[in-house]
Amino acid sequence: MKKIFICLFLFMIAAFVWVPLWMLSSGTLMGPGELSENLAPVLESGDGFAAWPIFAFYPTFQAYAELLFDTPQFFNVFWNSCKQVFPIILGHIVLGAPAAWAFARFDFRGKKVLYTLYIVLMLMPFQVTMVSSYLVLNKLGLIDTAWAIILPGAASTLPVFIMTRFFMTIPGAVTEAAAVDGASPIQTFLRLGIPLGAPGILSAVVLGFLEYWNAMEAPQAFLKDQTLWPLSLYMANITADNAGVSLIASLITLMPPLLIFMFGQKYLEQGIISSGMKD
Amino acid sequence: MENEVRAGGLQIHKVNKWYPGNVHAVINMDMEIEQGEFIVFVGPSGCGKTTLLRMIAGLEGISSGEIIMDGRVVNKVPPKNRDIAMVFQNYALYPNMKVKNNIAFPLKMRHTKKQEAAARVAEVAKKLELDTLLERKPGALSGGQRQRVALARSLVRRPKLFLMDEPLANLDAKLRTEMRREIIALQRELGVTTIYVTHDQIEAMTMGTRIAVMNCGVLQQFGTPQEIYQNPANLFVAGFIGSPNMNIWDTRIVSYNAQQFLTLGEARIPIDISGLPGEQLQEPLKAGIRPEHIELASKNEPGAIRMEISLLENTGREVAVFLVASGIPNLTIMTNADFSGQIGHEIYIRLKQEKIHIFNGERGHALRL
Repeated sequence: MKKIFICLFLFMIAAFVWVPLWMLSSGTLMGPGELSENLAPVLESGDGFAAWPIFAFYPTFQAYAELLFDTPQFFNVFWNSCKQVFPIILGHIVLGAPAAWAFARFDFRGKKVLYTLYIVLMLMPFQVTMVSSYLVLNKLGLIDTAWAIILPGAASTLPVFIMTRFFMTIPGAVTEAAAVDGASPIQTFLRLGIPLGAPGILSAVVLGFLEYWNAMEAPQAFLKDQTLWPLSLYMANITADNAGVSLIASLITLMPPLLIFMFGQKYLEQGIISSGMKD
Repeated sequence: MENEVRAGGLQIHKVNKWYPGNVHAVINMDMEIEQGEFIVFVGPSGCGKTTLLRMIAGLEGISSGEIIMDGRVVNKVPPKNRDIAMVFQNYALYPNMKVKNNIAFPLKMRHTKKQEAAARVAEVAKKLELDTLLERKPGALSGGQRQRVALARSLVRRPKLFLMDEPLANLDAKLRTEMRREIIALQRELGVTTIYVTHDQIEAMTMGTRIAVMNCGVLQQFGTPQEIYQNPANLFVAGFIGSPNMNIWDTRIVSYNAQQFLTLGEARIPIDISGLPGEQLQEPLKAGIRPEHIELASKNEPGAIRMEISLLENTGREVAVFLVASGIPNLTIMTNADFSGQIGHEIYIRLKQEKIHIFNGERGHALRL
């Protein structure tokens, strides 16, 4: 009995999270007429409140057809997003993970100062560094290219910070054992650091992906050419008369982060690190 | 420096370790270890034994002095090039790897051929009864199994030197006894020089061919278990090795009728001090005797000391009897399990004169009789 109540309670909480998603999905099946009728009080100067049925009364795939067949720029924009975000994430792994390993496992001169600098940079909002970033990118001739988004993103300090915390939890004895067993520092990083720090790396990947997939400031500031725009900017510019397309585009935009998260969740298990040690 | 080249031999020459904050963790350590020996570093926690082991492994820098392996100074040689294997106190298995990969790791790092590596993993796994666990990950093993995997990983190669840092400390008593025998047997079989760190004197006594007793970073005595037990070099060794502890009390030498006596509080024990230089006896002295060297005596026996039983500890095999008496220091004696005395009873005891140790009371060193 108690179990049922707990389930019911959890279900209610989950429902709150799912309602907007449900609305999004059901909205994609509404025709333009039904949509504008439902949204009239919000979009036009109608009376009363916007209504949103649980299911579309007259379900139609019209909006899907419109987006998938009649809106080629959507694919272009989607591809732009991928082209910008995946290299950034790759950069987080290739540049960030070794940096984090060095911070977590090695003692070197200036480590504290450098790490503090990383944290300070991490805490600075984009708006603070926007002008200086713009000037640098402009000098390098990268404004209006995807590199203007990729390079600063790939060198972001947040993933280094996240991964450092995770790498620090790997017991020193494990890497010492590797050293005694004949592993070089690089082998130790590749064979133990990466697998044992995987939850940290994955956390950084998931967070980084969400951040850059949804980022608007940097593309808006550094990309004047609209053909380079990512989804986040494109979405913000879909007008109200195209609400159906907007809903589907939102749904599709949501998919990659969702997939990344579902994939990452498996690796986000904690507690594996200490299992090689005593009870 | 003249160093003979000895495979698996290890020389520790005036080694010191300072930590920041002027902590002198290891002080002027000097040791010569022969090929094939089983050396135990024993001492209370914080005595520097693990630090010394880690310096030998190369996991800890050496502040001054030299560590010489096979005639070669290895102070600056990284651990991976020292040809050693180490078992850590907390096992330090690789949690992301299956047991077989854990064991094979040292071979893989040294580019052993796959077939040969697999054969050696199988061999060592069989020896340590791990054959059925090879596909598991460390997280799915019990403490004892993890310990055996750690041991297997160190055994899979034939290193010049085994280093073991309290490998049995986390096991229960029964398993610890079993593993102790297993390690001794393996070491005798392989003949690899081994250094074993423990704070457990039973392990030290039973496992080592020689024992290095350490305290506060200083080597107190380095010798066979018998030497250490029978002729402790100082008060620390006398008190640390042996359970129950050696009885130790402040004493003086007094003469009466041309016969020398050792004081035991108000009691007098005749003693032969002819081998000792007189000036050493002028300083404050302490005397010590092991519990098993005190015998029960009958009331009328000359020299019998009357005491009262304050506590009994029966281990089943023998009984530790704690004695008190006014004017006499408390003593502990060991008797047979059939001892019938009760708390509060009076008994008479006699100290075996030839088993009494005499120490300098201030500096603690033993005065040989």
